Parts: sequence; structure tokens; C-alpha cells
Amino acid sequence: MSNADDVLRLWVLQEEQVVTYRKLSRELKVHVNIAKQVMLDFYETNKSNCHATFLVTGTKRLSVDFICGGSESTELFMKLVPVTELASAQQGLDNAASHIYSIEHHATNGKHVLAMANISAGPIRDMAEYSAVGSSVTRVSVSSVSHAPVVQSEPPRAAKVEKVVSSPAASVDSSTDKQNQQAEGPSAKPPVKVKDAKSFFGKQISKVAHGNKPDTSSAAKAASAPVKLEPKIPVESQQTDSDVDMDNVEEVQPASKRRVEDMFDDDDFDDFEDIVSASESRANQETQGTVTTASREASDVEMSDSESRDAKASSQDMQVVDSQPGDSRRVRKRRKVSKVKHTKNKRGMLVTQTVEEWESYSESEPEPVSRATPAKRQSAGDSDTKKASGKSKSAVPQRSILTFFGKK
Amino acid sequence: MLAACDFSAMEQVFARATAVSDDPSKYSKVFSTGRRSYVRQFNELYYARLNELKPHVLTHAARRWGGKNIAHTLKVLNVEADETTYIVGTVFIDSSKKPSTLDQVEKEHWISDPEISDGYRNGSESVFLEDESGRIRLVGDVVDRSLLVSGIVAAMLGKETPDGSFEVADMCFAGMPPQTARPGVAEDKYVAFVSGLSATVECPVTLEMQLLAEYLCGTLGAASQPPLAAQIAQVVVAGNVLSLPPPPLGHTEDARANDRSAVAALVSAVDSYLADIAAAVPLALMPGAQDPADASLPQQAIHPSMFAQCKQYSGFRSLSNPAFLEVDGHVLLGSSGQNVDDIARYVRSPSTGPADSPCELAAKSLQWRHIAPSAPDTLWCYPFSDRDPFILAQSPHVYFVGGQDLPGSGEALGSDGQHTAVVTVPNFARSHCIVLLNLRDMKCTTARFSATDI
Repeated sequence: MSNADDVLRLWVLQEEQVVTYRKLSRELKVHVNIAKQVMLDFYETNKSNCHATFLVTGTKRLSVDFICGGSESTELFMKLVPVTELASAQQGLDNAASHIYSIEHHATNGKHVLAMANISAGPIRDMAEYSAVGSSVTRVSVSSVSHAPVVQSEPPRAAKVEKVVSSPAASVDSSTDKQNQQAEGPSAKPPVKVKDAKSFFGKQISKVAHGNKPDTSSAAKAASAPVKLEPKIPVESQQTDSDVDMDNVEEVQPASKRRVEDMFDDDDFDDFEDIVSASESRANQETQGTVTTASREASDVEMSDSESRDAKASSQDMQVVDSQPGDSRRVRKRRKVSKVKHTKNKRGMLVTQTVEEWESYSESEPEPVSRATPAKRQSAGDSDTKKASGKSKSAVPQRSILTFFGKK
Repeated sequence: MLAACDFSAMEQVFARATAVSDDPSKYSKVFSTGRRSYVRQFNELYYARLNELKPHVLTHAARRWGGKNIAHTLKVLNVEADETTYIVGTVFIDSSKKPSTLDQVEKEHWISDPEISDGYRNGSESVFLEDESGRIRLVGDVVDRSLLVSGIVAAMLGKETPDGSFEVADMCFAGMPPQTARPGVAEDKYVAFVSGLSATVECPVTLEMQLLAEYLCGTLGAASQPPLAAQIAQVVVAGNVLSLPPPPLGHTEDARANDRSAVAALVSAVDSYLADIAAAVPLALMPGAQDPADASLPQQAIHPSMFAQCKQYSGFRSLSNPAFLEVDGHVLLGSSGQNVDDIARYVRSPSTGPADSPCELAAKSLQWRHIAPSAPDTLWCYPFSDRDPFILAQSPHVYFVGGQDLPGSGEALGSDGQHTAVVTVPNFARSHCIVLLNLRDMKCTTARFSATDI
């Protein structure tokens, strides 16, 4: 067992770890009893350099008659002792036996050290085949297992993606010109970092964008002509693509990412012209969108995400111009919508963020019902209540309760 | 260096003993609350209890006193002076030491620190016997010496005193219900009872718990001795797996004070720990007073989603508290200890004698044919209306009670030959001790795990 000696020498003498028999059994993939024997042999040859903990087992006759029936009983006794107390621990026990439990470079300082060593050894069920006793249960099918853990992991990832995306979306909106964005290459670094973190679409696209920034800028200047720049996707589309249906992006391997991306490249190509034309008119639309978004935030802090999405999408619809010529291709457009995301920070506080997202839609799809009408109805309702109170204050924000009763 | 043959001897794997368990649906309805409604009062529960136990009490009373030409008075208020008779009703103890709702409100709002008594009987209480007609006060030395618990249905033999009380000369109860024959077991086969793991947020899994898991899984023990763990066919965890931190008083709006993420991590760690055991041997889990389950009895089974890793194994079962289960034809009835702890508070003069041990109290509750008679008076209970689930319809072969201070075993004998082994399971976090019951001879052994300051 030279391999075992090497392992123990490395762990115990060099790395000064606390090595339990379970850890060694798992590492060497041997029966637990063999691992115990190997450890004992190692300890015998390296007594001066290491310390051992032993488990003493035996039976003890109970001195206190705890049984209400009045008869005597025996107790199985199992105790962890350092090697210095091994002999004394076995005194007074019937059928006493012992085996080595752990080896360490120095005597452990507290029980918690051994407990941590056991935890680092991994679950016992993972080494069931090395146990001295077989199992009498079977593992049930995975389908019968609750998927709650998987579901629970999604929202944080989604939240991460959204949080990550929110900063580049905000940075995009802040600029008024695509050229400025390209010129702000250094300042656009945060968006690039974002893409690398989460989205495979974004990751690939960012790599492509890095190499093609000058080309995209020239494409933006000549946006009136249809541009077939499949690999040269501008920064905005990166950001928008990155946050579309990307709940499991972390698990996609780079090779598979490229393959999947290739599948979607054709679809993206259809939307690219929309994005290019939309970016041209962004200078005119973003201000409206920002104001609309802000006003909606002020009035609808507690709206649900779906409601806010619908309400704010209407403000952004105009960005997408029907620029598609009458051709036979499937027409899907992208529009920028503002969504209100509610998340929880580390302190458990509710954090509301407004994020800009792109969503794909088709002209053939029905428009969301009364996107603007809920807001209009709400504003109408507000005005009614104000009128019912006798005063119309819809244009003036209420500063104090006295304003509610109007000026005298 | 060891020879190859030595290694082959060390690599021996012992087959674990198997046992046939009951169908989960067989006893699932016994302590099920079903669709809950709290609009009803508890009088319905008491009526159901009296109506169901009264015939059995009368049977035993007639057998005990019938030969002495002693008449039975149908209603407690119809007793006549100077006439020896026996009456049947529900015992009620009126004591100032019993918990009151106002005390609970004071404790929650910290208005004042109420005095919490260990016992409900201090000598100044009054004992009554009630039925549909009313109640009559019980007096006499027999009443003072005997263990009486609110909610017991009993028959009292005596006569009325001039002041309208009833002086008791003797009493009898419903007796143990019928019992099915215990199947014979040819070889040693053990059921391991564990209670009170009490995993905390600071230390979810202690070294003693790890030793317990290694022992039950069969990795612990010298190679020279055949592992006893191979003969363990069933493991029952009788409550109090978790020891949750108390919720913060006030400041309910403070997210920092109400951060329960540590509790979620604790549950996950306990789930992983129990899964190690469930992967090796069938594991039955019961909730306890400290677990995230119902505050009142019967506690319903902890939701399986809390133990996602455990339920991947076929032998894992989440039971109610109390609960019935079968192991190789042996009927086991268990509780996590709240019922016996509350019965212990009715002991007149708390002593450490064997007559007042949790084992004896549990055995007496079998004689009363009711395992939680103090519910709902001093033990929180769901307001059942059509039945009392704590009334025993059959005598179990084993009655185990968890959450106790010391391990113990005894037996309850019925007048018709019933024999029930009574086992008390100690709190593992304090005693580091579990109880092993051998189904072959119904003898108990304890196993203690300890670690000196290493």
C-alpha cells in the first residue's frame, strides 16, 4: 500500500490535515476496515510524527437500574479517545475492542475539528459500497423527487442576469448616439463584463462585437441601407439578446453555445434591421420612454411585473419602425420595454429596479390589451376621486394634506 | 504489511436485516386532522371520548365490583347519600397551577414574568368527575394518593358525603384494548429509537451525531467483531430533530431580525445527515415539539419537501406524532413525548421514584386506554368533533416515548393477557444515547456515543 502511505504522508505530515478512516477509504476506494488497517500501519511506523484518535467499543453493565421493570441491562459503549487514553478507556468494558479513527499531525484541539474532518470526507451514503454492512433500501426514481431545489436556483440566476443586464441597458439608454456608444468603448466596459458573466448569447456576441466595433459603427452610419452584418451585431442587441430566455446560461458549454447560437443566427438576422433602424430613432424616443417610465414608476410602484411590462411597452413600441419592406420573410420585430423588477437584497429588503429589455414580437400577434388604457383608466379614476373631493389636483403633486382640501 | 487473505476477511460485507413494514395508508388516517376547522368547541371532543370509553369502563367496573351487589348510578348528580354506588365520568382537576391563557399573553408581551410551575397539583386543587348531567367533587385518601389526570374516563366507587362531595373508595379505568398476537422472530432483529437530535444553527451536526450515523450505516466498529448494526432493521427518529432559534419578539418588520436563511441551511444540513442513515436502513421520522410542525397534537407529518434528499430512498417515511407503524408484524405506537411530559405534571408530589417514571406513566396511559388524556385541557390539541384519535382501539406491541431525560423500558399488562413493551427514548443531544429494541425477545439495549475532549 505504497500509494496509501504516500497519501497519508502528504495529508498528515505535509498538509497537516486531520484524516479520518472514512476520508482515506473514500480516497483509496477501499473497504473501511482496510482503510483502518492502513492507517494503523502508518501510525505504527510514524508514531513520533503524528497523533491518533481511537474508537473504543464494548459493553458495560448499567450500575443504575433505569428499567422500571427491575431487571438489569447492558449498554453498548462507543467512545472516541486519544491514543494516550486508549488503555484506560478499555478498562471496565466487556468485549472491549478498538480501532483507529483518525490520524493527525498534532493532537486535535476540540471535537469540532474531528467533526469538520468528517464533513470534509463527504456524505456516508456516497461511500456505501465500502461499508461493512449492506443497505436494505433502494433509491427511488428521480422523477418522484421534488424539483424544488432546481426551481429555487433559477430565480437567483434570473435575478443575477437581470441585475447584470440592467446596468448595460441603462448605459445604453444614457447615450444618444450609437457612434457615441462606440466611442465610449472604455466606458462601455461594464456592459462587456456583464456579458461574460451570464449569457452565452452575450458572451459570443461580445467577442464578436469586440472585433467588429469599427464595422458596426460604419454600419450605423449607413443604416438606411439593409445591412447584412450577421457577425457584426451592435452592442444594443448584445444586451437585449443576453436577457431573453437565459435562465440556464451558466450550464452551457462554450462549444454548445456556439452551436445553439448558430441556430438562432438566422432569426437574429431578421431582427437586426429592426434593431438598426430602432437605434436610429432612439435619440428621439428614449427621452419619451424615460419620462414615461419615470411617471409610471411614481404612480405604479406596486404594480405587478406583467402590468408594468404592458404599461411601459406601449411607450416603447414606437421605437420599432415598420421598416421591413414588403417581402415574404417572417417578420418579427423587437421592441424595447421597461420592466419593473422586484428583488431582495442581502438584508431581505425589497428592491425595485426598472430595467430595459428587448422583447421579440410579431405584427400578427395581438397587441396587449389596453396597455395604455389601464394607465388612462387609473388616471381617470384618480381624477374622478379628486373631482369627487371637490378639487382637481391631477397636475399638481400633493405636498401636504392641506392641499387635498384645496386653496382658499 | 498484511497478507491478501487478511484483506479479504476485512472486506467482508454483512447483509443487513430486513423487516416488512406496514402499508403507509394503513395507519395514515388515525391521527390525521384532515380539513381543519377551528370553529367548534372542545366539548364535542369530550363527549366523543366519554361515549366511546364509557362502555369499556362499565365492563371493567362490573367485573371488579359487580359481585358485591353495588349498583351503578347513571348520572353523577343522582347519587344519593349513604348509598355505596359507582359512577362513571371524566375526571377534571381544577388547579391554580394549570396554565392559563392570560399567563401566555403576559409571557408573549413581557408585561411580567409569570411563574411557571412544574406541576399542576399542589394539594390545593379540586378533583371533579363530570358527565352529561354535571360534575361532582371527589374527596378521600384514594383521590389524594392516586395519579389522576384531567380527561381520564374512570369509574369511582364510593358514597356521597353530607356536603355533597363524593368520597371515593376505589376506582377503575377502561383497561387495555384487545391486542393481536405478536409474531415470533427467529433471529435477533433490532429497532433503533433515536430522539432529540436537536440540531442547532451553530452546530447542525455534532461529532456524536456523526458517530451515530457511522454506527447505523455500518462503518464504525472493529473488524474483529461482527457489527450489531447489521441487525438493525428499522430506525425511528422520535421527534425534535431540529432545535430552531426562537422567533424574535417584536420587530417583525425588521428583515435582519427575521432573516431565516440560517434555518434553511440548518434544515438542509439535517436532511443530508438523515439521508446518510436513510440510504442504509429504513428511517421513520416523527415531528416533535421543537420541530417545524403543528403546535398542537396530533402533529401532522413533516412535509416531505423539507427532506428532499431523504425521500430519494425507499425506506424513508414521514410520520405524524403520535403514530402507528408496523415492523415485521409488530405494532408500534410512538409519540415524541409531549403527552407523557404533560401527564408527569399531574403527579401529586414529584419524586424520582419508579412509580412516577415516564415509563410507568406511559404504561398507565395504556391502562386508561388513552395516550393523551390531558388534551385539550393542558395539552394543546386539535378540536376533533366526531372522534377522539388518542383512544386506543388496539394495544400495540411496543409503545415508545421520545424526548425523555433517561432511557427506560418496562411493560404494561392487560387484564386479558395483553402485553406491551414500553420504551422511553432519551434526548440524544443531552445523553448521546439511543435505545435498541430486540424484536425477538422484546428486550432493550442502549447504545451510547461519546467523545472525550480530544
